[in-house]
Parts: sequence; C-alpha cells; structure tokens
Amino acid sequence: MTRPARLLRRSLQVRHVDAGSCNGCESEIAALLNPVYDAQRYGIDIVASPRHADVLTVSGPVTRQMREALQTTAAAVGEPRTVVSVGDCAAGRCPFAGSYAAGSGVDGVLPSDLHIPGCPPSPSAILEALRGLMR
Amino acid sequence: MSAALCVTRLDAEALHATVAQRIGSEYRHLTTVVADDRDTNGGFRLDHVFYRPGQPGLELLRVHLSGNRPEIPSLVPLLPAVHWDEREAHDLFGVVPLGHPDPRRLVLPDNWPNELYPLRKDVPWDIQPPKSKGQDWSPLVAEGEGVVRIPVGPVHAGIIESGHFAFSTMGESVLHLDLRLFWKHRGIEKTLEGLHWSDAGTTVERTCACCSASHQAALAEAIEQLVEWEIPPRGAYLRTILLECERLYNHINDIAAIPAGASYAVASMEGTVLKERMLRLQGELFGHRYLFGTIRPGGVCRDLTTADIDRLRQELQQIRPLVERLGQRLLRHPGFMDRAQGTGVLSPSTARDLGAVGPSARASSVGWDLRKDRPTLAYHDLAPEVVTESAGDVLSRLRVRLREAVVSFALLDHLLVRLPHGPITTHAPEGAEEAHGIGVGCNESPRGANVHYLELRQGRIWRYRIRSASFANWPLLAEAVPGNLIGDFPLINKSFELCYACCDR
Repeated sequence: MTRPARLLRRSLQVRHVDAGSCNGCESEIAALLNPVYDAQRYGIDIVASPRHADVLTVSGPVTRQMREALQTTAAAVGEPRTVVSVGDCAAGRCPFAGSYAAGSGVDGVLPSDLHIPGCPPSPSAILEALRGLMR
Repeated sequence: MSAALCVTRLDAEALHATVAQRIGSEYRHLTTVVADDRDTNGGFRLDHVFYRPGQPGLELLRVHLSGNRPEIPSLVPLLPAVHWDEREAHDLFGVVPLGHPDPRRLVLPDNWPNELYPLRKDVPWDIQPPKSKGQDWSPLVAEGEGVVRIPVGPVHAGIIESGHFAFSTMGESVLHLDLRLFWKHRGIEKTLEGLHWSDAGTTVERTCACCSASHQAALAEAIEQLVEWEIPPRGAYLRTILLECERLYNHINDIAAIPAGASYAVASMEGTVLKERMLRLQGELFGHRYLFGTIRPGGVCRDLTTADIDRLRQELQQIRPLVERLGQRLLRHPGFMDRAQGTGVLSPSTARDLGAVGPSARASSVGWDLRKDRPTLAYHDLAPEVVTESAGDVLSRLRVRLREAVVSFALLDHLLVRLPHGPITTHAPEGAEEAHGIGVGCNESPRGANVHYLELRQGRIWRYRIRSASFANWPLLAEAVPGNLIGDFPLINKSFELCYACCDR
C-alpha cells in the first residue's frame, strides 16, 4: 500500500479504467463531477491521461480482453500510485466472475490498495473513499 | 411452445426466399439466435426472429444445421442487419456464414484460440485457455498519400466505457471509421445456462445498469410468455412506470451529454443535476438508483404507496419544466446549433437497411417503436406518440429525445393517476417450475429494442441470447462519422449514446 496522504493532501488526480463493468460504476464516478457532488472543490479531479494521475480507479471484473490494457494503463501511472477498485465486480463478486471471458476481479491482475464496495457504490461513497486517501 | 411464437422450419436453401418474402410483407427482424442441439438432434439450430407491426405474435424462421462444422450462406446481402449476429455466431458456436462480407472476429478476445467455440455445450463455462495468437484483429483502414490513422481506446480520456475506434483521416476529415468493441464481453449468456429461470434476474439486470429495467422486463416477458403467466394490472402498470422512468433519466443523461460533446458546459451541468435528481428519486421509491431488483417474472418487486405516487408525480412535475428549459437553452444557442446541425448525418435508407432502432432510427425518419408496434403492459391502454425527425443529424437525435422526454413525462403522469388497485405480482402457473420451451421478450428501451431469447429445459436455462439496441446501432455510428471533422466525433458519438456493456455482454 502506497501512502499518498502527505503528498496528496490538497490534490488528487484520478484516472479511471473500465475493465468490464455494467456502466453503473462509470455513471456514479462521472456523477462526482456534476454540481451536486462537485469533487473538484476538494481538489479531486478526473484526468485524461494515466500519466497525469496519482490514483487509478478500476471497475469491472477485468475481462480477458481488458486485462492487458488495464496493466498497461496502470504501468503508465507515475509512482507512487494508488489503485482503487470500485464496485463489487472489481472484487470478483458478480454472477459472471470466473466465466471464460469475465475475469474474477482486480486482485491477481494488479495490487489494489483500496476497495469501494457496492453495486454500484453511490457517488457519496466513492467521494468519501477518495477523500480518505487525502487525509 | 407458447401460442405467441410461430415456428417455421426451413432448409437452408429456402431461407433466403422466405426472408425476402417476410421483408417484403413489412416484417421486421428482431434477433438471430444459434443454439447447440447436438445432444438431441445432432446439429445446431438457427432461429431468425421476426415480428410484424400490429401483430402480437412472433415468427421464428428455423434452420437445422447438421454436423460439427456447420455452414450456411450468409443472409447479409439480403438482410444487412444480421451482419454482427452472423459474426457472433461464428465466434461463439463456429457456425460459418459463407460469403459474409466481413468475417473477422467480433466478440472473442484477441488472444482467444481459433476453433474453440465457448458457447458450445462441450466447452466448460469457466474454461481459461492459454493465450493464443488467435485471429489477430486488424482494422479496416483507408490507404493513400496523406491518410493518417488514429487509433483511440480501449481506454478513453473521459469516464466512459472501454472500446476501440480506428479512424482513417485526411487532414481534419474522417475518411473511415472501424470499431473494435466487445472488450467488456463477460460471457453473461453462458453464465445464465444451467440456472433456474427464477434465479436469472440478478445476472440479467447487470448486463447494463443504464438499461437494467428494460433487460429485466424482457426476461420477465420471455418467461411469462413461455408459461402463459398473466401478470396483474397493477404489476403491468408499475412495470411500465419503471420502463418510462428509465427512458426519462437516460434521455436526460443524453440531453446533458450532447452539449458536453460541443463544449457547452453550462447546459451539460444543468442536465447532470436533473439526472441526479431522477436517480435519487428512483433510489428512494424503487430501492435502487439504477432500478436493479425491481422487475421479476409475475410482476414487480415493490409497490408504490399513495404517498410515493404523490411524491413521484410532484417531483416529475418539477423536473419537467427544467428539462424543457434546458432544451430551449440548447436550441436557442447559435454556437451549439452550429455544431449540431448537419453533423453526423445518418440517412433514412442506411438506418432502415442496417436495422437501426430507437431514437437513432427515429431521428432518421424510421418511425419504429415497439411501444406502438407491438404493445405490451400498459402500452395497450396508453400508446405513446411516436416521435420522428427527418434530418438524421446530431440535432435530430437531440430533438427526438427532447420530444420523447415530454411524451414520457405525460405518460408517467397518466400511469400514476390511473394506477389500478390490486396485487403487484402473481404466483407462477402450475408446471412453470419445470417449464420447457422457448420464450422471446422484447421492449423499447431508451436506446431501442432490447430482445431476449430464452430457452428452458426442465425449468433451467439452456440458451439465452440478449440482442440489445446498442448491438443493433453501433454499426450505424461507423456510417454516420465519415465525412465529418474528427473533432466532431465525441459529439456524434454522444448523440447516439450507445452502451458498450449492453452490446458486449
């Protein structure tokens, strides 16, 4: 577990990878940028490139086809990096986990530092977890 | 077999003539399904499912394909809408479409071995074959002096789903676009095999969060049709309310996403607030923001109290003028209109030939809507107006959604006022536990027709296929983008606003 808190107290730049979600987690992460949750007021932003990111969020069970793309994206995030798995699929808790194509979660593909449970987790839960990384 | 389905058995030679005759008689294609019947009759089954507007029954044109290496002449020259269905059947079952214009791999991962067909019954659900060279996917590209190829994805810059776009450009103009989707293929259909039908809901609803109610309703209809299970009027109305709420929040999402593609942030943000308001309302009244766990065979899972109904009506009455104001804001903004008008045109003939569905079809004059063409649930009593536009551009797709949102607000108010009294669900009829046969459920999701084909043996799922509106519409995007500026791609893409998860399964 990397400990970014001292470095990232006022600014947390997040890159997201969908590794096979149902789009529920994406919808809730995207909601962080609407005026209701407005994550930017806390210094949290979603960035366009992994090269700009401190944190990588991952949703979905990491499908066979997405595995390499996820690993490549993670490797592009500068160290120290923090990996956050978002939603139950990413923890391997979905009905199709283990199928010929679905994968079985982020564990085993990438070391993950934090998991946010839920199907999907609410925007408040995601925001709270990300703010926790800044304390 | 239920009376709602009519099976016509054909040999492969007669299929083309029969399909041509059906198309000529205004039949429309719904889905194409291959199943592995080698245990019972030594081959594979190919079902092309059609419906005819105004008629409740569905027709299955069935061809038996014998042997282990089945081949059949491709139907694509006659019915281009099945071009992805045939490629999928090749990937998953090894049914070879002879003469298919684009026989590349579609669904399976790049590193999946050739000639291993995961939906065949002799391949285990959890098989994890070692990485193989597979059938290396390469994009179709334009070539020539000055042509630049721009690969984008599968990981995108925004918070969107994963998929790959291969652009061939000349200067700022897109010459050609090829798609590589199915990065999110999870094997949902194979996962369902072997489950009892009563356990299928939690998997089916996770096909796609944004179209979850539609998928749940299609599963429920397929089972109810198969076992002749009548649902109570209140259950039917509540199911319709869930489907219309889903349409509404998705249309609001899309109305917000389109200006984001044109860098009009104020309008986009206004829309995202309204979407959040809808999601919260759904969480509060239906128990889940994305309506998971709300619809099951026999009815719905949760009733609305009188107080809930008042709350929903009041809230919708407040949201409605805000959506209309947002629409006016967009349509009166010269900069936005300049971006949206004439951009990403999909011609009516292309939309019709490729089997476009939903708002993307209706924005190109193709007035197909299952709510009117094959009404179920409360749509029998309250057939909504079918909204069409003719220009087929980004603006038309926006206008269709704005007008459909207004129709949905009115429809929801009617449904809530006229909600019948009584139970919300009924018990399954005798013998349903051990049911045997085929059912097909379909409804008009926010993005168009979602079609579920279900086959049970002794109550357990033998074959399940989901043909989503996004599966039908993704190829249209590749038709609408060439000739436009590459900078307009996000805008055009958002005007279709297709699901990757629905398509990839």
